[in-house]
Amino acid sequence: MARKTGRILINKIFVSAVLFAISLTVRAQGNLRPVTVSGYVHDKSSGEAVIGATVYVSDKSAGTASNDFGFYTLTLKPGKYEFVCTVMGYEDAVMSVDCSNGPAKVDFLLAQGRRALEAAVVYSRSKKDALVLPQMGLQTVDVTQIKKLPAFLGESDIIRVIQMMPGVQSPSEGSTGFSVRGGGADQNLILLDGAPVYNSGHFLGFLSMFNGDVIKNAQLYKGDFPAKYGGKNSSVLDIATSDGNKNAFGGNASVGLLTSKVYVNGPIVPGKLSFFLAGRRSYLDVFFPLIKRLPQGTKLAFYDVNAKLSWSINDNNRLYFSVFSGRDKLGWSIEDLGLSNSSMAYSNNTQSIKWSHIFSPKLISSLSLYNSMYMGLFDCNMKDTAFEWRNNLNETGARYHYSWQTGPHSTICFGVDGAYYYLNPSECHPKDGNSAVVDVVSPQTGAWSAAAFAEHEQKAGRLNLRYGLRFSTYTKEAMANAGAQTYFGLDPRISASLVLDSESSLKAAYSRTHQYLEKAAITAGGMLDTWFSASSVLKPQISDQVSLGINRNFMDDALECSVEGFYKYNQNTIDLKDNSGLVIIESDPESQLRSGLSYAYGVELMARYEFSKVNGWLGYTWTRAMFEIEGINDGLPYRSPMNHEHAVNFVINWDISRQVSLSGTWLFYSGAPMTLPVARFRFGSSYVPIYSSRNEDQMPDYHRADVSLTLRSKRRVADERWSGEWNISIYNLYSRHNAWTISYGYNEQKKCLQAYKVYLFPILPSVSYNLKF
Amino acid sequence: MKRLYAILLLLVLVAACTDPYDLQTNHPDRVYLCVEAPFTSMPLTQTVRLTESVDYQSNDDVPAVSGATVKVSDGSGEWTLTERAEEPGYYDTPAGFACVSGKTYKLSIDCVLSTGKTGHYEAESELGAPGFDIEKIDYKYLDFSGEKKDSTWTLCIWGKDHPETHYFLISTAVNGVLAPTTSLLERSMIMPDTFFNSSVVKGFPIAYLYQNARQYEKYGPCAKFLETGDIVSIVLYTLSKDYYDFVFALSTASSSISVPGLSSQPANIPTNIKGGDAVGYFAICPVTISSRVVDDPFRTELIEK
Repeated sequence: MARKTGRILINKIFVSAVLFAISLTVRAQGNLRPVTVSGYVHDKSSGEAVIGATVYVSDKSAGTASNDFGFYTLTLKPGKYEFVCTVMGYEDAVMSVDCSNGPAKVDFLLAQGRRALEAAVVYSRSKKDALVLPQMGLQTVDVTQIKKLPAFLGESDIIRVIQMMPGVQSPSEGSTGFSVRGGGADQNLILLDGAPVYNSGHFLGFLSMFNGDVIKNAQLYKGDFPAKYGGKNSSVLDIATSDGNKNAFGGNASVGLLTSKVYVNGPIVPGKLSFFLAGRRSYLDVFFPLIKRLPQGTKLAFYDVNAKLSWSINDNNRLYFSVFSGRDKLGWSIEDLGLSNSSMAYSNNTQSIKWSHIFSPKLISSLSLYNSMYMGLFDCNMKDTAFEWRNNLNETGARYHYSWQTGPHSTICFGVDGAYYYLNPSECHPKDGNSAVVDVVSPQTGAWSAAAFAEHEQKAGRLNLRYGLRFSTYTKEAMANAGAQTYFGLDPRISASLVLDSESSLKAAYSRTHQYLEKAAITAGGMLDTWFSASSVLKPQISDQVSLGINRNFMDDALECSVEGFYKYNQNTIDLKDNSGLVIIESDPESQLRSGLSYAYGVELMARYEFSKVNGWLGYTWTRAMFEIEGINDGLPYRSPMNHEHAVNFVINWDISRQVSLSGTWLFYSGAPMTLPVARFRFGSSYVPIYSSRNEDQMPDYHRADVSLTLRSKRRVADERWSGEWNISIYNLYSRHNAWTISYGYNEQKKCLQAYKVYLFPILPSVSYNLKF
Repeated sequence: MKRLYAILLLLVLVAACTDPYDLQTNHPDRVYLCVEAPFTSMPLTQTVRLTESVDYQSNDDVPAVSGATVKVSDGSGEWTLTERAEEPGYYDTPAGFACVSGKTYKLSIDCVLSTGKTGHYEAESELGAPGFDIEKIDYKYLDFSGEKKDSTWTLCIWGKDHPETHYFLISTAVNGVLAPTTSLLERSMIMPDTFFNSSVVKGFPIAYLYQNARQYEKYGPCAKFLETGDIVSIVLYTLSKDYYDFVFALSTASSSISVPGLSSQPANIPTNIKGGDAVGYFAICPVTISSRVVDDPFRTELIEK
C-alpha cells in the first residue's frame, strides 16, 4: 500500500511540475524578441568536432554546450556580445560579435593547450554547468587523460576510470564489467557511436573492448536518464569515437605487455571527409607454451578493429559511418581426454550511420541507423561427442531525434526509436555423424521495439527544470509453442535544480525505465552469457529511481563537492535459481531463472579538486542493494552480489612538468556478499556443504593502490612530427592479496577441510610505449 | 560438458594463488540429520543410512545416528528396518524388498542426535514407470595411449525413449555386482533425455567404465579390470524430476570451488525430508538393466549397429 501511495504521489508531483514549467515557458517567450547565435566548435589542428564545449557570454548571462556534432545554439537579446568557448584540454577562445541585426554564426577553432595537462580526468561539462543543470548522476570522461592513470597490464582502459566513480563498482577483481548503484551488468546500456554493445569485455573480462585511442567522448548516466535513452535500467554509457583528422595524416602506435595497437587517421578530402582506422591484437598466448600447467594448445587471444568515416557535406549536414569488430577466443587441446582443438569464442560487431542535419540554428535533427551483432561459440572436438554450440543476439535499429530551441532558456527534444531483435539463446549441433550429441535448440526469438519521447528543458531564474516522457512498446514474435507477446511502457522523467547561490545548488530527479532484454551471466568475461527476451514468463524489468542531491563549490570552484542520495525500486529482476544448471545446455533456458523484486538505496559523495598542477577526486559511496525473489533463498530478501556496502575512490594526478606526470589511485570497498558453508554432511563418499542464507556473509574487504608515471619526449611538447610517450604502471602497489573468490580444499597438515582465499594479481608492474606520428 | 566446464575453471585458476582463510560466520553450530535412502524397484535389501552433519572445517568424520527407529510403509503394510550390528547408522529392509510401481511409500525416522535433541522426520516417494526401454548394449575400449595401458570403456545403448521428458541415473555393474548403493554417485552419471527425447536410440554412448586397481580398492568387484567372459551391465534408474534436481545439486555442490561469474550461486541442495534440520533424500526409482558378455576387452569398435 505504501509503495502504491508513493507512486500516486510521484505522478501528482510530475503532472504539477509539467504544468508549472509550461506556464514558465509562456511567460518567458512573451517577454523576448531573441536572436540566435550558433556555430560549430572544432579542434584547430585536426578539424574534429569538439563535444561538450561550453560557449557562454563573457558576463555569464547565458551559455550552452556543443552537442555530439560540435554544434551549439544560443538565443539572446539583440546586442553586442563577447563569447567565450572553453573545454577541457583546449585553450579558451574568445570572440566579439555584434548580434544587433539578427542571427549570427560563430564558429570556434580551439587549440589544444596547457589546460590539457592541468585537466582533471573526470568533469561535468563545466563547473558552473554541473552546478546549474538539472541533470543528476552524469559523469563525463575526458578520454585524453585516461592514459595518465595507472594501466592494468599496460592497457589504459576507460572502464577502469569509470569504476573509480562513486556508485560504480567492479563485480570482481580485475573485471571490466561494472555495476551501477547495485544493478546488474546487463542493466547497463553501452552505446558505441549509437550502436549497442552486448558484451564489452575482452580477455576473460579483464580488459574492455574499447580501444582508448579511438574514443573522443564518453558519458555515464547513473540515473536520471534523459528521455532519449531507454531499454536498460541501471546506467547509460554513451561512447563517441573520434572523427579523424580533417587536415593532416597522423596516428600513433603502441606496444604493451599484452597488446600492440595502431591508429591512423587523416583527410580523404581535406576539410570535408576524414577517416580513422584502428586495430589492436593481444599476444599473450605466445607465452602459453612456457607455462607447463596449462593444457596443451591453450590459446587466449583477442583483436578489435575500429574504423570511421566523417563527412562534412556542408554547414548544415554531417554524415558519419562507424564500424567495430572484435573477437575473443579461448582454445585448448587435451589429448588424454580425446579433446583436440576445442575453443570458446565470442564476437561483437557493430555498424552505425549517423546523419546530422541543421534545419535552422534552433532546430537540429539526428538520424541514425545501426546494427549490432553478438555471437558466442563453443566448438568442442571431443572424440565421439564433437559438437558446436552457439548463441546470437542481433539488433538492427534506427533513431530519429530532434532538438528544438524554443527560447533563450528553453529546449525541447523529441524523437522516435525503433529496433528489431533476433535472439538465439542456445543452439547445439553435432559436428559429424560419429558424434553422440544430437540437436538441442532452444526457441529462437524475433522481437520488435518502438519508442517515442519528448522532453523539455527550461530555465526560469534560479530554477532549472527538465521533464519528459518516453513511451515504448515491445513485441516478442509468436513461436511454435507460444503466441506473440506485447508490452507497453510509459516512462516519465523529471529533474530539477535550484540554484541557491553562485556556489551551490539543490537537485532532485525521478525516472522510470523499462528493460526488455536481460542476461543470465554464467561465465567469466561473458563468453557464454545468454540474453533473454521479455516473454510471457519473463516480464519486462521496470525500474523507478528517485535522486536527491546538493552541489557546492569551494575555493573559487577549485573544489567541487556533491552529495547525492538515491532509491531504486525494480520489478521483475531476474536471478539464477538455487542449484541452477548450465543455461547453455538447457532446451528451456528460462526454466533456470526466477524473477522478483529488487531495490537499492544509497548515498554518493564526491569531492573533485583541480589546482594548478594537481587534480583528481575523492569519492565515497554507501549502498544497499537487495533482491527478493520467489524460489530463491526461500523467498526471503537477500543482498545483491554486486552490493559493496562501502566504497572509497581516490584519484590524484600530478603534472610535475610538461614531460612528466605522476598518477595514483586508491580503491576500497567492503567485501562482496557471498554464501559460506556452515556445516557439511556426507552423502555416499561425497562431502556436501550446508550453506548459510544466500549472500548472508561477505568476502574480505578489498583495497588496492595503483600508480603510474608518464614520460613524454620533449619533441612531443615541441609539437614535432614524431614523438614518444612511456607509461610505467604498477597495479596493486602494496601487493595486497585481495580475494577473488573463496575456495575449499583439503589441508594435509591440519587433516581437515580448509577455506582458501583465491587472489589473482599481486603487485603487477607494466610498461607501454606510445609513438605518435 | 561438465568436464569441459572444469577445464575452463582450471584455465581461469591457473594464474591464481591462494591463502588459507578462516571462515567466520555468525551461525551457531547446528547439527543436521542426513538421510540417504535410495530405494529401487529391484528386489534387494534396501538400505537407509543416517548420519549427522559436522562443522564444515572439522576433521571429524560424520557420526552415525544409531538406535533410531526407521520404518517404511506403503499404506497397506509397514516394515521396520533393522540396524546393522557391525555398521551403526545403516538400517536394512528385509531381503528381497521390492517397491511396487504406482505405490507411494512413506519413510519415518525417530532418533536422538548427539546434541541430545530428539526428532521425528518423514519423507514420501512414489515409484514411477521406467522412461526408457533398453534393447541391447555394446562396449568399446578407449585406447587413449594406443598401448592398451588405459582402463576406460564406453558403454553404448540401443532402445526407445518414452514420450515426455525423463531423467536418468546411469550406473553399471560387472558380473552382476552393482556399485554400492551409497556410492551410486561416484560410479554413475545423471542426464535428462534431452539428447534422444522420445526417439529410437542406436549406439548412444551412455556410460563409461573406469576399471583399475584404485577403483577396485574403493568400490570392490564392480570396478575390476575387464577380461574376456566378464558380463557388463547398464543399470538405468529413471528419476523423478525432484530427485534428479537433488542428485544434480549434490553433484555440483560437492565441487570445492566457486568462481565469480563461472559458478552458480551456492545454495543448499533440495531435500524431501521433513521435520526439522535435515538433509538428504528418500527416493524410489524404477530400474532397467541390460547386459553383455565381454568377448574382447580391448575391442575399440562396436559390433552392434
